[in-house]
Amino acid sequence: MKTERRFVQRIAIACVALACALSTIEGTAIAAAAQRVSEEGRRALSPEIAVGSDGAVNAIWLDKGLTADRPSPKPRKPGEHSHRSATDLYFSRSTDGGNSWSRPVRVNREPGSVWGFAVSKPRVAVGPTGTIHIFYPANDRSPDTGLDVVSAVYTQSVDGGRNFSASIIVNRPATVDRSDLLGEGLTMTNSFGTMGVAPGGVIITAWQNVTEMEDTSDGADAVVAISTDDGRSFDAERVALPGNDVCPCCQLTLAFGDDTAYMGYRKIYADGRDSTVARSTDGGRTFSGDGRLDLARWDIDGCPLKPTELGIDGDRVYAATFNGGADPAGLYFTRSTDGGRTFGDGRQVHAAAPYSDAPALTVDAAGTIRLVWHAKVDGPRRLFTAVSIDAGDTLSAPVELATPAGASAYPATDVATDGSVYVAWQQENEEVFVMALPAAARTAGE
Amino acid sequence: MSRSAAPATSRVPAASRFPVWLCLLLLAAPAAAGERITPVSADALSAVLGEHKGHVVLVNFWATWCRPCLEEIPALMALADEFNEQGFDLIAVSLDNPNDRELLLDPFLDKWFPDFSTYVSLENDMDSIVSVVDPFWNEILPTSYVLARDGSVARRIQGGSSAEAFAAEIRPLLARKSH
Repeated sequence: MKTERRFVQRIAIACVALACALSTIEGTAIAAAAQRVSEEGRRALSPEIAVGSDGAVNAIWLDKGLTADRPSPKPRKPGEHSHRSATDLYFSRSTDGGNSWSRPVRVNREPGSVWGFAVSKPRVAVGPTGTIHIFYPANDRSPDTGLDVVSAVYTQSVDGGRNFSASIIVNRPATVDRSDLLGEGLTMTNSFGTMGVAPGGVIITAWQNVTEMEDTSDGADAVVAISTDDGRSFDAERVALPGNDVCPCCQLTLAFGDDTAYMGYRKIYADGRDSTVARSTDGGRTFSGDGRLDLARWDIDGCPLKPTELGIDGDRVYAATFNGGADPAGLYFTRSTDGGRTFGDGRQVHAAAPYSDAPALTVDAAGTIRLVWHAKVDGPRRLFTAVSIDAGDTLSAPVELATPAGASAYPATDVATDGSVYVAWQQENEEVFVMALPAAARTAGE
Repeated sequence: MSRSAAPATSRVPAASRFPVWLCLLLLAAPAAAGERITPVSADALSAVLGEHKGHVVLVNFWATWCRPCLEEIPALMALADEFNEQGFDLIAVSLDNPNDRELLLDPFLDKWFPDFSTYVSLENDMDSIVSVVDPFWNEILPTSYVLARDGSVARRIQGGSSAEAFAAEIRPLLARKSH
């Protein structure tokens, strides 16, 4: 079985290499060969990626145990992470442009302590001093109520990912039981969060808290906690977006301009659950504004599970999201030229795909915008990319990335100082891969 | 324990099809087997749907963590009662983690919906099982599909919906006689 798997993998890698070679002729995206970074035989999903100023590439992903244990998993025992999802978080690093990767290490000290849902992904970022910051939702027990909760947890590495610090719970302990909202076994969640490092090194963690939700049609509050000492401590949490109108199943996003932090979220309006951008000019302590994207209203009583991806270039704020209210539904791109106050020029990104979703968006130092997403054209989900070199006036035609055969999904991207974009994704549901895309300006055909 | 069953396009010799079909029914039909929660792979779901051709079917994908999904379950159960004798079948598929069956799904249904029968997906990716019905599913819950008697998707309904709204889609299909 293992031999057969290796053979298939070699064939896949050979196909990728061939596809890369052909792509230079066909004018499609020129990419370094895809590298598997998760360990063979383990179930890996939901990657995130961050590139430091030194060029080192840091990848994290959820780990659900041995592939051999699927599809007849052992039922959990009473008392053993009694709710929802008990997974681990793994880390690997490349210091040679993604050509080779360190042996993956587990980030969380207690096995199974990560609340591992793909729609509430852990986040990784690198600070200006090279500290690797990681933020994730964790299975926990409230010291006040003694009940099972999901906590917002931070950890860091100051030695290039060889060791991670003891975790810090950045949220306030739960004092109420909201199992009426959350169902069996779970009484409070601090999840669907995100983290970012502002240019000055301030770390902002943000998440959603359901304490004040009145009923299931209501929204959550967005809460932040900030570190100004490179992650050694965090100030007390504060409500950044009050009013119970943050769609509680759409992960928050953060992006930074020189003096402004932007938070992407899905807001519950009277006529839709729509992607919206809030702004902070006080280092993330308070957020305001209501930059509702100029896309069709999406009136849905459901769990969209769709974040709002952001990219910043001065006063220009670029956003990409799946919009189910549009006809046709799919991935849309829009922009603001007034610092996220208003948005315009919304457009569909991949008209030829019956389904397109899961955008990742970067803006490099030259202002080049790169979108990577997954779409189904005539088979399983595959990765596509498009770039804009004119501040979002136009987007290039979608180009399929040369990933291994099968489903390639849920891309995450980050841009290096030289403009290279690193893409991590989930391959065939079980493995995490990374590839590098050269700076768009040097990429033929785009 | 293998739960995979021969898909509709199986190359199993004709002589052995009946036992496979019978096993499939016993393993994968909650009502027939008296099971309230039945694990199902994508292949097995495909075969189950094949067995329901000739009926109008509502396939509902749900999860315990999706509150709008839970709010429409009473409506789905009412529909099953109302239209069952007219050739309507409800097929619910939970997208919860099958690891959580004993500690989450069983007690959850015991407490809230003791008469609700459901499959639970064995696939590790939601898209794999929903793609049996809709290859271009957009990963939103709840999602329901109303299937005509020939098995084709007549309507996709996303977001929590009411019994009246579902019934409005089902009635015209029931009125069409099978050929």
